[in-house]
Amino acid sequence: MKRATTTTYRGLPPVRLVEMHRLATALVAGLILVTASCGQMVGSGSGDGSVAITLGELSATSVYGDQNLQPTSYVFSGTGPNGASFSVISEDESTTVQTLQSGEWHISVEGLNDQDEVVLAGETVIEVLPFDETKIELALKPVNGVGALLVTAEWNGDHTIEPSSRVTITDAAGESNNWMMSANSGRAERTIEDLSTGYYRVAIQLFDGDEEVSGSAHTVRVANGSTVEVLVEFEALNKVGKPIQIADESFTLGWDEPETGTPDQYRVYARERGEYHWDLVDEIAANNGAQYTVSPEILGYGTYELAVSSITGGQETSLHSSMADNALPGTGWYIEWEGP
Amino acid sequence: MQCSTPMYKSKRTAELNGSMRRRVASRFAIVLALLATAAVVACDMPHAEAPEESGSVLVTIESGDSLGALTLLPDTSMEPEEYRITGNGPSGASFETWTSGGSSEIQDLRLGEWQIETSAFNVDEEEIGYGNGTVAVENGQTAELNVVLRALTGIGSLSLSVVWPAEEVENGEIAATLASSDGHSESLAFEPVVDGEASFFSDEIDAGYYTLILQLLEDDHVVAGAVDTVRIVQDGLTEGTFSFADLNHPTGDIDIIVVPDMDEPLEVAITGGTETLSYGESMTVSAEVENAGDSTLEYTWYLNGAAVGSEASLTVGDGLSPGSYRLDVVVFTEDGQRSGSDSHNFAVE
Repeated sequence: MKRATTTTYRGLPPVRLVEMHRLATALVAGLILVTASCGQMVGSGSGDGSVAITLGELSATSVYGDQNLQPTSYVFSGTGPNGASFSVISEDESTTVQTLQSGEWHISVEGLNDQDEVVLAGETVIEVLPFDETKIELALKPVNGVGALLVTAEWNGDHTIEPSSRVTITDAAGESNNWMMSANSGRAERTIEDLSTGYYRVAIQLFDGDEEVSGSAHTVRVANGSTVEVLVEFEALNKVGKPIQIADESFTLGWDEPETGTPDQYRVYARERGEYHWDLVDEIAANNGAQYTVSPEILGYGTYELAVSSITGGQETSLHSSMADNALPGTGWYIEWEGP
Repeated sequence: MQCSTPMYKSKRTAELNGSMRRRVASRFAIVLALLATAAVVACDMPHAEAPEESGSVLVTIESGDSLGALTLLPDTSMEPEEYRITGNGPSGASFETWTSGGSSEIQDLRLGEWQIETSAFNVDEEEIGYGNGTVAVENGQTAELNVVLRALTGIGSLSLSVVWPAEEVENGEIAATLASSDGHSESLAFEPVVDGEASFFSDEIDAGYYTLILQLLEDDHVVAGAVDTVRIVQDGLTEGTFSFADLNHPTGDIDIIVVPDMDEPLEVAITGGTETLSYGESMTVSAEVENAGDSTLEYTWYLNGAAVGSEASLTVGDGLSPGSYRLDVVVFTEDGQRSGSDSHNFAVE
């Protein structure tokens, strides 16, 4: 079941009632076809959703960029009294520098990854004692700087009507900023630049009209001089659906038979928009065809989502509604039946 | 002038007057010449009328001081220009004569024992040496007397200055010792003048030869040094300046051990969640972090990308419409240096 929408579906003129009928038939037919093949249940939405993170994946929801922060070599350097200096490159995490002039030395170490990018750095000031060996442990931290974040959201564009997406970035201090991402054909993208290196909370929300239909949040680590990419694929949307306005006294639903063959009966259900429970409208023999005409005597005027199940050998399939992903159109639909 | 030791290199310059150098260099030759010359030079007759029985004495003047590798010499010229020879003999007899050096024969002296005194004077007519001796004058004989002249005993002054590159030495100090030939040593207290320079002065130094030992210390470690001979003369001023240009700074080793602190991401896991919730039901989920250590953690829960909670646990479900939901938790350490997140998908049916 999908949530209500404020999106307006333009009403069809009476002369096109048949076309509307055809439309309704086609929508339900698509629904039934999938009913027979996958057994998807009404009310369960479209099944489990998932978010695909493609780069720098460490866990399902954390993104750390494609920059390898693991150092493979180190540059040890120091400047000391009277302009003395040294520089040592080593693949080891330690080095010994001998015969340094005693006095105060500024020691700095850079960790380079396999691309020779400086990814870690640390520095300290020590006092080199004469005729002595001074041992220091120097913590290397990720290099401070700025990086960029590329957020891409993808979804089935057929399932949304007026999609938009928003990314909200919250830094470690709790400061938030958000940006709208222009959406087109099931894809929205935004690059946010000049982000200080560090961890961020990145929340991505997908809207259809004013309604949020999906979203996710992630830990994202921005590294110096690189762009971390977050690709989110929204596979399960809480769709808003398209309203179909009906000004006639009756309308006919149509659907396709299950691929397994003609069942014994069909059951037609309806529920008012926003309600949870389905009400059985009627049970009809399947040999009368995969269609059903609704009149005010059967169902009062109102705003409804509709569903159909089939019965074979006394076993009823799960319900499949007009809001299912395999309905046509994929946005899902519901009727706004006002009568003549 | 440069001096080196096995341990420390240094450059020392002793400021010596040019004429003094020449005098020093020539002193040996002059003294040797005096010793080699046996000829009698002109001398004053001590008596207008010579006694019937008389003798003479041949006085030979010798220098008793080594004039070898002197470096720091007094400003007083120690080059003898003239010698005064006086004698006191029997019955109040006496004589006085002057010579430019070498040997002098004084004739017509009364027989008996004579006390001979010899003083050396420099070009400034300052007495710089003294010696005496006794000789017996016999009739018709020439007695020979070698008089050894030595520098006058007394008190002189010493002024020393040491300079070094100030920018290369922190807390530079001078350690100096003046050692006499008898083994007595005296520390010289240098006073700082400016950065890179220290000086010493004393006007109470006994005349004589000394060994001067100088060391430039940096934090109690010797970075330069020099040793020189110093001569102090009565009422004279001996000056010297030492310049240490090349310093041997003490060295040490450092052992650098890198400890990469990658700000490793937090390993976060959501527990307690179910994949489906019946409409109207709730579930309580918790965020567990494996590698946070003692860090204080901050939690932010998101439902479909919208923040819904900030505790370690969250109860969610009641009030949700049927549909698909993604629950995320983002965990930060309090200092913001580490973070991690996890997600849980569920459906409300």
